[in-house]
Amino acid sequence: MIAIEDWRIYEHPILKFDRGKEVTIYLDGKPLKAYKNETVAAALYANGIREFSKSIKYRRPRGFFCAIGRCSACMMEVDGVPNVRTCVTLVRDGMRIKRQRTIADWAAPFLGMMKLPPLRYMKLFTRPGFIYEPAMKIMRKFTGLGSYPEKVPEVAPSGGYQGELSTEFLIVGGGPAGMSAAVEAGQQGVDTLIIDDKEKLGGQLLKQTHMFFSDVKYAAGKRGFKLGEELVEKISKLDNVKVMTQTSAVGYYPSENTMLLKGPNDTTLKVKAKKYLISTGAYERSLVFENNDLPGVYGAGGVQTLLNVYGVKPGNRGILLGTGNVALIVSYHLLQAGIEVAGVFAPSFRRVRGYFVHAAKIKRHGVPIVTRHTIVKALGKNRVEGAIVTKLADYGKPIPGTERRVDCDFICVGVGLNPAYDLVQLFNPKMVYVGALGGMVPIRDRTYRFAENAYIAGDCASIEEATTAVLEGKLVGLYASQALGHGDETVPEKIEEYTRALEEDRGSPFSTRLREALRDITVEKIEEALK
Amino acid sequence: MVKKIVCRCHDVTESDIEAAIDAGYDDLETLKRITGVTTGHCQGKTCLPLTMAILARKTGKNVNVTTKIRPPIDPITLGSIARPPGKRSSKR
Repeated sequence: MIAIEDWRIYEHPILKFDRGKEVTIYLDGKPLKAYKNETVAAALYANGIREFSKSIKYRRPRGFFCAIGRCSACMMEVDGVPNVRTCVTLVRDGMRIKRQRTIADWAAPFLGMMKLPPLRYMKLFTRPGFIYEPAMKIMRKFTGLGSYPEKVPEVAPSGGYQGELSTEFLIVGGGPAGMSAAVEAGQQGVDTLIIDDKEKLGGQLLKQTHMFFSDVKYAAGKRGFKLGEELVEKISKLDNVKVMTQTSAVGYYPSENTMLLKGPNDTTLKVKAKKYLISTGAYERSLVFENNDLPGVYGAGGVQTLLNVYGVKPGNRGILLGTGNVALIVSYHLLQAGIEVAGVFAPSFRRVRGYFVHAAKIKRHGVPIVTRHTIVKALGKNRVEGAIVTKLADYGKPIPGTERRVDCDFICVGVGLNPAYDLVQLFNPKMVYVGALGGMVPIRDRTYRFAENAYIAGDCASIEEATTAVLEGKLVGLYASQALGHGDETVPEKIEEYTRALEEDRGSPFSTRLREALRDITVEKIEEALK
Repeated sequence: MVKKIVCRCHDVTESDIEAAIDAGYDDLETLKRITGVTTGHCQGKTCLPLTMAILARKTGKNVNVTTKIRPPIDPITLGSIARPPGKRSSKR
């Protein structure tokens, strides 16, 4: 009899989890309990399963990682279809899930013994020329994520291409910025379409269970998920704002001014819009340390998703890496759910860079915030069993001999965010690397335009707070309405009001670098800057 | 096996990238072609910034361009673009 593990949270001080009715799924033939509203990955995790797949080359165990369908760690065979991202696939009663296997899985220990120096394997079997083809045939058996099924699986047919749609304003990304823009543009009578790749709008707001502060009028004094719900409700009341969820942008073709969207049930759709808003947010920054791919090393967003969306405990005792608000907030969310936090390890000196309010909150709960420390190694064979942390010298190098072991069963990397650069770049903007804004961002003008027909708002414009994303979104909504020839006489008034609020929000002395960076990349006329 | 993984999709390690830079592949486009970094399922969503950081550290260059981005930026099936609307499989 196998011990039944259940990592679900049934009592939470703030959140209530609507899991839906109980269903049964099968992992490699073994029945597991799941709930209708869970994704496959969340259900497996809740049953104590940590290893989902083996990595492509070294056959290293991989588990749940990003939780938002961005990486490849959770790919499994679902109902006969190989390489399904289980973290974005909802469960169904009787679903059959298989770990993908290749010959290399049992050969992995032997392959591990053949230690080739880096880069050598790329030149292997290339000379003399005639051995290349047969060698490749054999080598292909030892790589890949799995082997293809012998016959075509009996699956629901692809929905196919759904035709073309046109709209005035297309918003990609239904987070705080995108939703705020949809509300403002919708109120001005603009024919708007907002898309998001999740099952519902809200973006990262849905995962925030803490109170926002700063300017009370726009967002603060509310818990993030409540703010998200309010915006969703406002959008649902506007008839001219259409919402498409589980839909993501896969490409933009400037010569045709067309965006290609991927919808649910394996469909695609073309959309022609007069103006676009890219509010796709950010990707999580990762860290390079030994065994950084072990199941149990997660991004902060992955932990938040597991914890606050699906109500599943990532572990019993964790450590946080990072110095910003993300690390501090996630440790607070973990504490709320009754999970022990062994410490927040921040590579910064003197004090953490996040808000004092958040730092004080977790210190009150007895969580040590250790500055000048970073992680060098994750311990464990198939899952995290501990971490080695080390002290940093003044110039950022680890001090030898200061390594110590911290016991934990998961490591949460919250070292910051990078603006999502990929969709933005398809518009052929001028990209610049700005450290103070988080990474690669496009040059924009005062109306947040970074290309002739496209606006940018939220974290993909500059890594900031949800409150600034809301204000930026509102402004873009108004600027776009004006540019599209809509909008009443209240628009200039509103623009002035939100601009002032945004300036106040960024007014603190801590934001000096951010303000200067934003000033540097804002130009008067975007058309001239792009020439 | 202790490894520092940079690209999780293609199992590219930090030492792979460093060796490639030492071998002369010292800009992002050639580095991408020799190691396969940023060409996996995720299209470089975590490894691109890490690779840029390693490149900047090793070469002392100011790395401020990303690789060329081309659609599709999210994987799609061939069926979803090839099947005409409304047409169903004959079996079902």
